Amino acid sequence: MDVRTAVGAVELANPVLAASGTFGFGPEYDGLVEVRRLGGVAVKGIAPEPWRGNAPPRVWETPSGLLNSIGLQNPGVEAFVAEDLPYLRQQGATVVVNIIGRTREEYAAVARRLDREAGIHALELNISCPNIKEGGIQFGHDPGAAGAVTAAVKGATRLPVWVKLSPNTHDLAGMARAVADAGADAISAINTLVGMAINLDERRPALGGVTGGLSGPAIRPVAVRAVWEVSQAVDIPVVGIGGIQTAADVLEFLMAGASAVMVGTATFSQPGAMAAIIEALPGVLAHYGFDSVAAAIGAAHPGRWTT
Amino acid sequence: MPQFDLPVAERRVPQPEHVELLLEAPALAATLTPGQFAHVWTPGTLRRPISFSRTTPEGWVGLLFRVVGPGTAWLAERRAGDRLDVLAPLGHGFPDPEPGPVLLVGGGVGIPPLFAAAQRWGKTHPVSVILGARSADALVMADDFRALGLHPILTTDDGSVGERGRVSGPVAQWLARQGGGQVMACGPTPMLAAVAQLVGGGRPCWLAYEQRMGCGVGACLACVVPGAGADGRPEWIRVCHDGPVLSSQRLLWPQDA
Repeated sequence: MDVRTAVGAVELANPVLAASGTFGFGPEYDGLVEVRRLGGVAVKGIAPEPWRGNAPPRVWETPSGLLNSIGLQNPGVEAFVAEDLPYLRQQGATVVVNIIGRTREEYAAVARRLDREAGIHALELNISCPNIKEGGIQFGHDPGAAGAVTAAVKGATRLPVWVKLSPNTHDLAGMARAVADAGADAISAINTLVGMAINLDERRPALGGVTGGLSGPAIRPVAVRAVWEVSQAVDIPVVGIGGIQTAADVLEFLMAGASAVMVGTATFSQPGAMAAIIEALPGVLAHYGFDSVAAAIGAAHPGRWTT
Repeated sequence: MPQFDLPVAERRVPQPEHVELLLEAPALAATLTPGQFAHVWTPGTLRRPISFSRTTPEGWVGLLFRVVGPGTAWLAERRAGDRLDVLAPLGHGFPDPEPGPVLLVGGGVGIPPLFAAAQRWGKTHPVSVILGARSADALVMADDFRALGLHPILTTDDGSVGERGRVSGPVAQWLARQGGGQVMACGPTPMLAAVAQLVGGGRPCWLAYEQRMGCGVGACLACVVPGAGADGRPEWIRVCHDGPVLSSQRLLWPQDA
């Protein structure tokens, strides 16, 4: 069974990557997850300077889901390059660096800085985090702004640029076309959905940041729909994200049009989730009549139905 | 940190709404530091962080928790022979105390890790114990401390057992009586803040902290509390990875943050 795949020029040994924000920079899961066995690792979002993030509490469990309001706390690009990147390089991981900024120039500055570093395979432009009040988020709703920041980053690096889209928009296909037209090499979909919970005991919002991003199996159908729509709106590859827990879930995203997937929230409950998915994937593909990951990509698209 | 699949050896109900599961885990029992915790799988999207309450001569480890939601309700239904999926030992526990008197202060469901500390250091140090809870039926492990030959001072908010009031009164008396010594505490954050303020900067004060937790291993940055960095500037401390036991000197309290 051939489980290799590619996201544009980035070749992956298998289609399962760790999703940004859920996996730190890799060493946190040392002893529990072998990063070189993953399709790749998308690290925590990196800004030009350290960001402090939001006030705690920062997580809250919901039915089949998880609300978070981390607020993109990160050590800044220089600390990332000096302290965190060497581990991933040493491990031989396929590394996708998620980048964040408050302005177009900040995104481009991070991209420019990372362009000089070995061991990075792609950048993932995060224009979709619901947990920051200024900057980044506005790029996630306005096709013009999204295209402009994509073009600015493309102009600052030779690395492939993936753009991570928000489901919190009424025109996902329009957003996808805007970043594709601006030169994006791939689209990751989706980031979290905006949500909220109340702590009944304390009579206040459950999260310090008041609202948060919903992840986990609760959002999987929303993510499948997004991948379906985006993969038919543009010709660049799509990386599917949202509530994946099993190899069958991966196949669902592949058939909806994803070339690879990211697993996030599932790792919190079961650190071995990604390894288990990778191990089970060949059997699941065979069970549904596929001889490779490549054969499954977009298999459910109109015109490819087998009935 | 390894992942274990551990059989439940015994289930105890020390108080209403409180359950202690004793797990057969000789390898884990041999390496535990009091104050370290287990991240225990429950149905749903997050595990539950629970501090170890004790080790036993049979090689068992204890997890004592209060039933507060669906996750802990599921855990409370486990019986002898059931198995638990546990990440452990996680975090940093209490450091070996310096020679001299040690005060253990536990509040409510924060009491268990201090019993583990009493087991570890009760024979090598003169140990005093102050336990608080909102009422008698939330005050756990007092008999366990007595079985070690210790004489815990008890306080409850409603006076249903021990002195009426908070732990701060007896803590202040102990500090006034002892010239030196060191303090280990675990309980609600306002209690920890009060203890830290009473102890001040003159003696070691170690606090086992609680915060809503995600991954449990330092990756997701959910369980942060405000602290002071090396240069004195505010920084977030990860309870799961840098704690849960932290020096009171590293923490900033809400009024300072």
